[in-house]
Amino acid sequence: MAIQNLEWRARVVVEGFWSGLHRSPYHGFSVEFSEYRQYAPGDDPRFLDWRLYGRTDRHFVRKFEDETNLRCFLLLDLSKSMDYASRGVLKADYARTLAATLARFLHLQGDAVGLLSFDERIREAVPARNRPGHLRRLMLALEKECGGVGTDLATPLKRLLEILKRRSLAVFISDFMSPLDGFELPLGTLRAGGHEVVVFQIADPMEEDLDFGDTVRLKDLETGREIDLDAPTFRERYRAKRAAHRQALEAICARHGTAVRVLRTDTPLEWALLDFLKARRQRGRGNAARM
Amino acid sequence: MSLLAPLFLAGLAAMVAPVLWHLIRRRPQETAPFPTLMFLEPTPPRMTKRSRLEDLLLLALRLLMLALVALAFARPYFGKPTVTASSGEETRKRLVLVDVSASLQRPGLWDAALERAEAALRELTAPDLAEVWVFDESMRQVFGAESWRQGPVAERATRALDALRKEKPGWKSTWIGRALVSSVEQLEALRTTGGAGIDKLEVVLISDFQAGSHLDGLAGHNWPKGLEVKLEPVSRGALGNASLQWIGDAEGLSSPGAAATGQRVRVQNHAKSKSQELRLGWVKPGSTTLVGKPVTIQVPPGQSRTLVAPAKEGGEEVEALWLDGDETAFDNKLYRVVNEEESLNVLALSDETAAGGSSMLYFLKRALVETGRHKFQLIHKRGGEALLPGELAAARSMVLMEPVSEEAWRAAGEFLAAGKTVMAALRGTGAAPALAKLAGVDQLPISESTGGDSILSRLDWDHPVLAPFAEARYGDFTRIRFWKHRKIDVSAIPGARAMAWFDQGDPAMVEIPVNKGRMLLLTSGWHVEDSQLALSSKFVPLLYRVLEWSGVIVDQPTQYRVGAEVSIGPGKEGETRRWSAPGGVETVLASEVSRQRVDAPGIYQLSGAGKPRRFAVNLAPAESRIEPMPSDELERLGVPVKAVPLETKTAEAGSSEKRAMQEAVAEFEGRQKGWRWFLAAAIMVLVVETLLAGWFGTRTAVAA
Repeated sequence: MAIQNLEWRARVVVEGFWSGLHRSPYHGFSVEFSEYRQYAPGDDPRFLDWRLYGRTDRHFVRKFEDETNLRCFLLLDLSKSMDYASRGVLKADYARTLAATLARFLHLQGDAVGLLSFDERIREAVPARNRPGHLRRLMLALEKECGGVGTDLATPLKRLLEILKRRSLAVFISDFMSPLDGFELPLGTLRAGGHEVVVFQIADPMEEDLDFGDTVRLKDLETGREIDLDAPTFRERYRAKRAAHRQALEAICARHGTAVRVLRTDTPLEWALLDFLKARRQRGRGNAARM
Repeated sequence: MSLLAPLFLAGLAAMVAPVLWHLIRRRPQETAPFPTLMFLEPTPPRMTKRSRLEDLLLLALRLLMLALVALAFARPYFGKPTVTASSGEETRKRLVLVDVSASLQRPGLWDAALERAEAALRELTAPDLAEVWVFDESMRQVFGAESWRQGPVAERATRALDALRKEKPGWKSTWIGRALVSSVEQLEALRTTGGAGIDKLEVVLISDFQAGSHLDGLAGHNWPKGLEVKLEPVSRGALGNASLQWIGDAEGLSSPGAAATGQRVRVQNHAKSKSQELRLGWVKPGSTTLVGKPVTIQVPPGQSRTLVAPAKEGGEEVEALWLDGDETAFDNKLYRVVNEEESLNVLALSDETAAGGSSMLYFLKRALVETGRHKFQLIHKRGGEALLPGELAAARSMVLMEPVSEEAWRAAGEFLAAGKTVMAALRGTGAAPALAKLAGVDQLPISESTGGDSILSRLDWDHPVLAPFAEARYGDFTRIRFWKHRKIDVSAIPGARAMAWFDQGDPAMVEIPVNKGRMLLLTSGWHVEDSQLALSSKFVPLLYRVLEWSGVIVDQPTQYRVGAEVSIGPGKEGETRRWSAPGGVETVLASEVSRQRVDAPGIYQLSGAGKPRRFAVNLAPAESRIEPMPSDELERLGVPVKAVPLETKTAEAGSSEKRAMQEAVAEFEGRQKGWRWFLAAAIMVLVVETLLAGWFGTRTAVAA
């Protein structure tokens, strides 16, 4: 995170794995032919297939699966718990970089990218667009400070359900440091709506391992509550609880056909992204080039 | 190891503090932020084996440091002191010196002084020796060492106190300096006559230590070794005071008409006074009620006012001024005696015809002016004029100024025969036969000097007439030029004594005894033809000195300070002289008594053959300065003052043996100064503890 500017940081990461992919970002469109339909009065005569009319003397309208490029919404957790770094990189910075990188990548592909940042409520909502300058707006929204007194994982998903009209991609970036109650239902609804969901969990090494040497007084970043903790004694129990929490998250995601990708702030972001893209390419349907 | 002040070991209780601190310290000191506590719950702190070890070492060091500090305060010493105060030997020579000056007249002070004296005497033990003295301007013994030694041990202090209780504060001023020096001499004498024991000399000085005390003689005094002066201040009640003092009257001189217009007084209000409105007026004896018209004056504290005393009203018995309204009353009365002017007849015999500066009489008239005390009546007789009956007898002095007639010389002879003094000035050589006759010689050649101008080159300063001029700044007579003088052979006159000589060696002034009287012969006149004498500054003093010498002017001061000696002159044969003191005490004086000491303020009277003489005696002004002197004043002057007040010592000390032991132990400990080592060790431990704690701190941080 030597580069302070988020846009430049994203650009560096994107160029890095671009060259690794050897795939042109301008290859292929999201406009897909879907079916013919008999013309009905009121249909736009532009979409009449004149060749077919010539051959069959019947009026048919060409229908496309999608009239625009892919829509992608980045759901970014900017709660206080993200404002933590045991060594060097803040989880929030890591998440911002991830979001910015994806946004840039998609933007370059000509996709529309939107943003929903949240803590216990929606903080910033940027609609999905692909206009020149939109990326800049996204970057500004991403640079907002962390805040709030908690994290509500369901709220952004519910909001997304309200605003999504077409099949979209939702990238959920959070540390998932909150109860998972209420997360599954909107996720299930989203998936049932045909939307694709990608889940990233950002984790700090310290919160993974609870590696405090001695008795320590800990303060909750979100609620401000303090407790005295004898870390060596409690470490194993903590790890177990955390593992259980992750398993629960993975189970929820698995039930709805998605997976959780854990990104530790001590691993370089490029690697993590590359890993992710390769995996998606292997998933087939040929749209790995897109994501 | 023993302890001088074991009470300080209570400080060991402070050792609980580090233990408590170490227990509390188990709780984390710093707070670390954490994203969420949802997987965590509070756990009680747990001691690890390693930290316990480290902390125990630090705890031990901290406890050791505290213990060392507590021990240092407890003043440890090693070994056993040897107590010098073994029974049967005289160890302490104590001189209790009690102030009986006028300032002790203030209410309560004398009782306080007696209490202090009692405390000082009662704490003495059998081998000790004590004397009790009182002092004001001088010292006197109240209870001697011999009486102390001979008395039963149990009753010594009581007897000494009984003797002291007979004393009362007087009216004299405080001379602490003299008293201390004399008392130390007394103690030294006791030491040499005492036993073989180790002497400890103590002076217990009980006084109000007023600022007006005289400390003369203390600076630079060589105090003997082993002497301790313990100061016992007695100071009670109000310290504010205003004092009253006559001005310009110290010598008893007063200006003409002072009795009628009133005399100037200075009212001084001292800095610690609370009142500043004062009233000044006359009072009757034994009363403090102001009579007549008292004046009200405003004198702010620390300032003084000079004013003309109110006119005396209320009759003859009123004889003192009273200052009303200040806080301390003992010095508020100011006595006053105004003597009437004395009329003195001076017979001037001269046939001078010249006037003005050429006439000796001209200067004589102007020299004898009226003073407040004396009124001169100059009776001038020419040769032809006969002396009226009684005039010669009434005259106190005679001045012969040539040219004079035979008659005048004869009158001088009579005057001299009566034992009086004649002053004669030669103008020519014509008086030789008369002078020879008067001197009782056949021939006395007198010749005019031909040497020209001359000055007085040699004077006999031992002669009573010239003695007052002996000091260098008064003794320069060389500026007076003499144009003419006469030569006279002094050796031809039996008993004659020249007292001044011209530079040619001729006598200028000669004293010639004639019968019972004395004649002062001047070989040159003081008029301008003969000399500049009358024009010089020496003429009037010389003339008055001659009158004093001849007994015409008698210096009779009427104002004295308490403690002074009033000069009354020897009594005449057959005369009964009575001396009346203020309390109505009257004593008949023996004829050889020429001085009388006055010990109390008031009006004294000497009555005898002549007119009664009265004297006013007042307090010394310094005695009115009752505010205490700076506490370190005596120490500053080098007096070996012992700092510990007697009271504290008597309060905590039990039996005498115990006390002696305590003193010995304190001295022993003072020599060893073991506490220093304990304190140094505590500092060392502190350093080690700090280094160790720092090292453990960094190690823990690195491990974390």
